[in-house]
Amino acid sequence: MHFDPVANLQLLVSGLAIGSIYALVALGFVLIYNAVGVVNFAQGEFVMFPAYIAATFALPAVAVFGGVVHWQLPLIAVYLLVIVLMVGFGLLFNRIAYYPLRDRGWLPVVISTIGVSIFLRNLVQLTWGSQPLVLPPLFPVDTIAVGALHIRPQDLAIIGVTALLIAFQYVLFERTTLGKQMRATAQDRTTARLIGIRVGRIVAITFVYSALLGTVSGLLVAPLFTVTKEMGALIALKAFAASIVGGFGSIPGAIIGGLTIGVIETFGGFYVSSAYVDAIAFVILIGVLLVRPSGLFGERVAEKA
Amino acid sequence: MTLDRKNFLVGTGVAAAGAAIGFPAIVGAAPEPIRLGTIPCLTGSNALLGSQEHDGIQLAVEQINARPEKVYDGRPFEVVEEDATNDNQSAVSALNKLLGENIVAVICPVLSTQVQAMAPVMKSHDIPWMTGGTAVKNTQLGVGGMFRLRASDGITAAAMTNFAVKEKHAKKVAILHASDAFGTGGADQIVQNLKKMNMDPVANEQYPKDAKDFTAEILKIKQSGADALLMYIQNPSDTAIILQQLRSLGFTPPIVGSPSLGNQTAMETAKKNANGAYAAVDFIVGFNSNVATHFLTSFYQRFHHNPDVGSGSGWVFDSVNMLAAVYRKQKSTDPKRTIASLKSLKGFEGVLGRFDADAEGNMVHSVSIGRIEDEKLHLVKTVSA
Amino acid sequence: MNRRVLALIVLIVAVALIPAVVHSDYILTLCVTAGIYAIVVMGLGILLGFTGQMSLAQAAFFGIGAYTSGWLTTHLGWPVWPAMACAMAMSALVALAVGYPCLRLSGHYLALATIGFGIIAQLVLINWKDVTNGSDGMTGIPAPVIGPWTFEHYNSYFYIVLVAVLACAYVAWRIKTTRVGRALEAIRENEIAARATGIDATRYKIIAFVFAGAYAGLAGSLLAHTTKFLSPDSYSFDQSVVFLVMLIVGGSSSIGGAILGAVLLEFLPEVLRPLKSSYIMVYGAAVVVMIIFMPRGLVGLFESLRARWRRGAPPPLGAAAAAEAEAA
Repeated sequence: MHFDPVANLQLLVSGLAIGSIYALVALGFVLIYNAVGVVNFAQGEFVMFPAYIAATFALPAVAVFGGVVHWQLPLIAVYLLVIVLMVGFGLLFNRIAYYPLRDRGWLPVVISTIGVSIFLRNLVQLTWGSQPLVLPPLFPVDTIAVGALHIRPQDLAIIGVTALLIAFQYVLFERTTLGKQMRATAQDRTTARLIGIRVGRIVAITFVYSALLGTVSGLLVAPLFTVTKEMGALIALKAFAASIVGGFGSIPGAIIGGLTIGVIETFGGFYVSSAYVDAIAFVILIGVLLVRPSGLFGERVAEKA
Repeated sequence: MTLDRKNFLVGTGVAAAGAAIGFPAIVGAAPEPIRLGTIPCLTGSNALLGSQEHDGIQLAVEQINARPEKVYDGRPFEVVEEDATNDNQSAVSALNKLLGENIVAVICPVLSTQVQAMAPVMKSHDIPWMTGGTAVKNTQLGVGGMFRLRASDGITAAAMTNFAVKEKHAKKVAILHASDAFGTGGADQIVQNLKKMNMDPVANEQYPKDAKDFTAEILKIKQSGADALLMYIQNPSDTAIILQQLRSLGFTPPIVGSPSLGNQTAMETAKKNANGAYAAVDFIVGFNSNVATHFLTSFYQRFHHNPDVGSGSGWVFDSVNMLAAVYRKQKSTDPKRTIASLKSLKGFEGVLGRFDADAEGNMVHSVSIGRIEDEKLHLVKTVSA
Repeated sequence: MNRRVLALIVLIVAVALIPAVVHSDYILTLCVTAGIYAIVVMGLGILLGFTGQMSLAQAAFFGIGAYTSGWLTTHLGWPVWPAMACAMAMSALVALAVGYPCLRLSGHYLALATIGFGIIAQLVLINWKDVTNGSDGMTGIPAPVIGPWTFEHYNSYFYIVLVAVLACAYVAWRIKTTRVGRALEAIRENEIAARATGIDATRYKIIAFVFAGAYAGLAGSLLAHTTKFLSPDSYSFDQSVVFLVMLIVGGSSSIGGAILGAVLLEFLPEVLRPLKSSYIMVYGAAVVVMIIFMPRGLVGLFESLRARWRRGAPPPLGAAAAAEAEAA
């Protein structure tokens, strides 16, 4: 196969776009992991569920529970509604799947998030049926041609929003009291409690924030991926891998990890084999874990229990 | 409700007394229902197929049971449904559960792997098995009563390949397919058909389950210089994403898809990105038959959306009606007689067209090539095997 | 003979009578499948329950066992029994190769490394068509034969699975109650302390991982010779998750818990079937409820009920309801 600079550039752009999505979802993983020391196996549903809610409000006709609704609200109103509902969702998730198990180590929480994930996927199927839903993209055009390069505006939006959220997260954690309390809780919950931080509330806020990160990813990818009950599953798994490649618990690590996996996957799919593309991501992951168990950017070597 | 033994005895006594007075004349006359087993995938990642199967069967059964004579002599259909889920093991349990329910025929799940997983159990039961699984070997598993009410992948892949090479004058054919049994089986059939014309695919790309970015696959296909792309993909969401990315990456040669591309769900999900693509479908595009028109209008009235005719609701609707016709004619539901009647069935008019059984149990022998414009198929040509 | 052993014998005899009493193929398939899953889950129990090491690759070892057995019997025409032994050995060998590098990791890292291995293994099953026949699946796998008897039907296969479950349970019990088991437990409780007392933690962790793989391999082979058809979609990440949930719901460090969890979660969706399409949703919710309200799994629940009974505390809810119904 001859070397084609345009094709390589195209692969890079697509890899960065899909990598940004992994990075966004990985941020959600890392936040919850830092706050409570567990991996949330329902993170993919945090992406899928808001997409369904958005589709319900936004589309001209959506079948819900066998009936048909015709809300077709303007996109801004839809986004606000979804955000409000997902705040409630995050609180409820914390209350049901995490709070009763908070003193029981990480494994029971992992199982309960798995239970919630099974519940949500089937709830979605029961409510909205199995037909894929299609959210309109934010931009009227599909693609911009830059020379021989084809760029989708939605991909640029994804990359842009990811960058903005990273900046926002930086300001939140470094400059605000809330962010500092979140960091303190993440580092040492007992001490945080002793110095007067209301740990329970901080944890609840973390779940809400993670749900909102999922919401943003869900709304961004829905026009590209279509809305199905499986839309979040593989993304979440890759994002989990990304957060570990980058160094679990590290925010810059999650971002670099997500972008790395996205880019390597697209190039691997092109130059090696598209049938084995998921293997490529996980081979890298296992390789990184073995060479540097703390990940590329990991600070802690020991596993946080 | 508190039901203790005394109440129960009193209740039974009253019922028995009522029966003695003269109810039996009415109760005894109620004709015995004909129990039809079905195993759609109602949950899991293929639930779309299962729900369409469920709807198609429901519609057919409701229509038949609304007639005065029902199936025959006033005997109605009664559907016994078990979820095949997504998993072979559960599909086999579901089948075993059904077989204990006194059923006379089974409408199988549309997934070929599940049909094959069930085959060892099917072999020891002489009842009709109606399938929509398109894998060529489904009718070669040694199951006596297996009938396929759709075109096999062999017929479809041949039609797709011939259309691309002969009508679209493709010299370099590329293939893109899913990694499931449907995708790999279809792609193998295409390769075999190309071989017959002394050709090899210039690219044969397989993508993994749940993939969302197809840049690598599409660029490889573009670089191979392909002048036609054949797609074998079941999942409507994957189909839509791929068509969108093909368009945004500037792929312009003709695209010919498997029957699933011509499904209503796939076309409605892909919207304008499907415009100009071709699909080989195992029903008559344009629906000029009365049966098909009637099916489409009554389906829409009942479920408020258009059906997927091929893989979805059409073949099961035809299965139920075909069984009803056979039962009506022989005035019996005896499974062995039914199998014999189905084996010699010729010229049955269904939604998918005309059914003629061959020795293997294949019922559909022709496909149509349609061109997609604005979420509708327009007939290009009909190909008979 | 003490009462526990007696109770166990009564239980085994009762289970052995199931095919004589139950003639439904449906119930017998479920029993066979539940028994096969119980073996996989017991293997996971040795790794997670005894040793505290997480694995989400059980489905992969299950698949390796199934395909090894399937390939040896269909391609090379081997009889079933040596193929079954090879399947077990093959899964154990792969577990050794995977465990050796991966068990330097722990917790979430180990979990993810095993997820990665599971996904790679499934991709190999899909793509290595010469051996596995790809997504199309492997057909024509024979049933086991002993002398004049062919174990074709569920009511005879049931006993093969029963013997395998008992043998695996016995081996697991031996592991638990001997020096190896105490070393594993020490690693689970505190790896650093265990190392300090001279336990070669890495070696013991690999041993546990290899046992988990061997158990899954045997179970996979048992599945292959009863379903007679294999396709790669059965050996997914989701299936590994199911095994994990079975173990945790049953009670992770108990052999009885592993078996009970597998049986309960195999039958639970079947019991819920009348709920039609909402049953998997209810199943998901039930998992959350069980994990919240049964901290030590089913086994823990039984133990605490028995303790209450002995203390003469008020009888549990079910008994109270029954007494109430009788009074009315």
